[in-house]
Amino acid sequence: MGQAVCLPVSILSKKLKEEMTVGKQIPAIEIDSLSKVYSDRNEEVVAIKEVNLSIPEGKFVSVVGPSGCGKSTFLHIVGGFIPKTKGTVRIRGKEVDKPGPDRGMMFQESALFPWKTVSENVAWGLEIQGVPKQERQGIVENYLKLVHLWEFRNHLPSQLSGGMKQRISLARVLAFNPDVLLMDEPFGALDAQTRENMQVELQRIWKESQKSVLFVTHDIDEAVFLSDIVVVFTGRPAVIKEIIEIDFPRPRNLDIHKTKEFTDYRNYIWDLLHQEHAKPHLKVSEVVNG
Amino acid sequence: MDKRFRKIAIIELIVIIIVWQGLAYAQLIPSYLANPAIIGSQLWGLLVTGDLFMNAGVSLYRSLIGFFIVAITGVAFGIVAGYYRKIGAFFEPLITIVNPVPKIALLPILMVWFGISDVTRILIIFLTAFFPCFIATRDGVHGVNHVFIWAGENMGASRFQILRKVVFPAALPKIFDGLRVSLGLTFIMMFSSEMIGSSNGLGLGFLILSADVAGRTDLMFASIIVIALLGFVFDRILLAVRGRLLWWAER
Amino acid sequence: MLKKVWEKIVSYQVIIWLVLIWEIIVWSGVMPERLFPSLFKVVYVSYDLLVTGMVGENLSVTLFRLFAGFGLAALVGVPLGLMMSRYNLLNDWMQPMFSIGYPIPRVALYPIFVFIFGIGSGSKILVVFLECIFPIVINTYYGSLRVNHLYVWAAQNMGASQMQLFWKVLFPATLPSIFTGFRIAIPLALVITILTEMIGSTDGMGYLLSYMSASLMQEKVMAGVILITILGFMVTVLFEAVHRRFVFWK
Repeated sequence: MGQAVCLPVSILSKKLKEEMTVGKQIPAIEIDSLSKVYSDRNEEVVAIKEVNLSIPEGKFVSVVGPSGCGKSTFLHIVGGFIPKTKGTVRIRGKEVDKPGPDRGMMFQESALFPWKTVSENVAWGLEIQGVPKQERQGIVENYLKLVHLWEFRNHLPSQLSGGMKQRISLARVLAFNPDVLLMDEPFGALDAQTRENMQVELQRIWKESQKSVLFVTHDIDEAVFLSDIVVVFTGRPAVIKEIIEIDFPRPRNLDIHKTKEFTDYRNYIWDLLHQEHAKPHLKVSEVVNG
Repeated sequence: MDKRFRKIAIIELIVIIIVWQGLAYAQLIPSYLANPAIIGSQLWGLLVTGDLFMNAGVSLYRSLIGFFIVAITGVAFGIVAGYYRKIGAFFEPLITIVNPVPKIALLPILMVWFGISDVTRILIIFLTAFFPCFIATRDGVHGVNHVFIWAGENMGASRFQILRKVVFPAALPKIFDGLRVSLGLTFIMMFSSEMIGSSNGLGLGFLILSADVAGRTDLMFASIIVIALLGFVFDRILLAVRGRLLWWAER
Repeated sequence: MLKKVWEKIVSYQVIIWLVLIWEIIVWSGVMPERLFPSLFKVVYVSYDLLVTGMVGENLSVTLFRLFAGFGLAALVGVPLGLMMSRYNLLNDWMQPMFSIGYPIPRVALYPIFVFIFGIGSGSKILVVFLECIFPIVINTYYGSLRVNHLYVWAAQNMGASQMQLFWKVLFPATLPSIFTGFRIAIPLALVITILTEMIGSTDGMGYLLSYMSASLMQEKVMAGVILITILGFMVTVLFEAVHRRFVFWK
């Protein structure tokens, strides 16, 4: 294996460590010894094993890991879409095990309803929650303008490009005002250029909305560029290998890709993902228990 | 159909028979509607006297001849029309006009031309069942992924080799979908062509007709059960053949 | 302009050739005219039938049976297919029935229905219903199973209830498949309506055909076929219009 990159950032700052410690303040998302076991008739596959994670309010947290490591499954469990085997998920202190509008979910593939126009799609969650029509229109306009697609309000999703669809998806999720955002490789199906533009857009919108985000990706660059904290998973079963704080000032622009620090972060995470026996700098339990 | 479904199906059939028999026994359904016991004994009677085999045989003979002609011509013309677009385009207007015609309406015309004969009955079966088979085959050929054909050309296959070794197997799932619809229509027309415009002869339709005239619902039910069984069994045979040939395609 | 007309004629040439061959046979006198009338005469006779009012009443009876049978099948079949895809218990009990019943020519039950319900519209509507419900249920069921699960998840995420999930997500998402079922069922409904009217009836287009056939009027029979064909066309055009109206996003 290659030489491990030495980083001054591999240990969480004291402030963040404090924030991530249980009991100091109620975290936006708190995951406590979460496990997922798929059992067939004659064999059991452990997909996720004893994951503990606590995400402070307003932070952007990415989960990276090799493909098929169970990071998507992890996010789907947090979203309440598939049942967990063991453990608890709390959103702002409240335990959840079903899908609900307190967690806004964005998927890799656009889940916009093809039979509804753009504005009807964005209004859908509000309609379900019984928000009156007058109010709905204002909110829809607000968020469609936020993602710069107000002119396309009467189009059908099939008339939009992949990047536009994902921006609408983001607007739809923000419109029903969830406590936290969950994002499952939302830019995974986009081309490289669109992807980078979307990352800049997301950063801007996230800053404006002030929501906590749990973002799953297999793209290390994306994770480093967007996040305050990167959580590295190893595969089969998924366990947390390391938690890394990304210390770049905001707003970040695409030029930071060229800096030495960025490359160092990236190489460090790359090594973590490729060295099965890399020594964790910080144990999960240390983070959770302070 | 997996084993569990088969089990449930058998249970359901038994329950229906028992309920029917019970209702008949309690005289809750009119007595002119036969009950399973009487129908069963009628079926047995048809079986031992050989009437069943005679009538079913004649019906099957007509419908299977019709179906085989459909299968051969429908697939052949479908492939030609799909692969050689110019030929397909030439006949397209004819297909568009004739396809939506309820072919059964042509029966009186055919009767005038060919008499009340097997030719008429096989022709009406053919006319009805041809179009689903032809259209499914043609669309199947159209739908073959172009990359397959390019790959074949790349490896030096001639136009005919591509047709035989690439296009035909790739279109086969669609062809079987069409054949299945055609087979179903074959049995509908087998019954109908025997019911319309004649009152004697051999065949399951005639058997129903003569039972109807005599007011014998038990005999009618017995014949209907035989028709249902034939339709079911031949559908299973077609699916088995499909499974054999298309083991590579997911069901 | 002239070129466009010529192109149209070329693309429809097969029809022109067939009409030509037909008329040559008529002129040459190979077949007796009584059996093989000129197509122009047939068209004239169908127009005549239409204006003398003989058709109107029978046509409306046929249309009523067709749409009653099909409509009932759609009304029962679509919710049933949707529910079968969501509730395992219901599916366990219904699926075997539909698998077994699918290849059976259900029209064979018609003589029994006539016995029970008489020769009027009831028995015919019932047979049309039975033939139509199978393709509708089966297409709805498989279509609903194939609905992108992300639509369901997104809706749950936004707090949709079971009922809302059913009618606001599952139903519209399955609509293309439902219309595939309808496309199979509608021609079938027409065939079965005409068929049952031909087997035994006192009114309807199928009856008219049988009646004219029995009185050996070949050109009138052919005129009847043409009218039924036009009816089939109009039903198809209507269907496509409804289809475009409801599945506008594809």
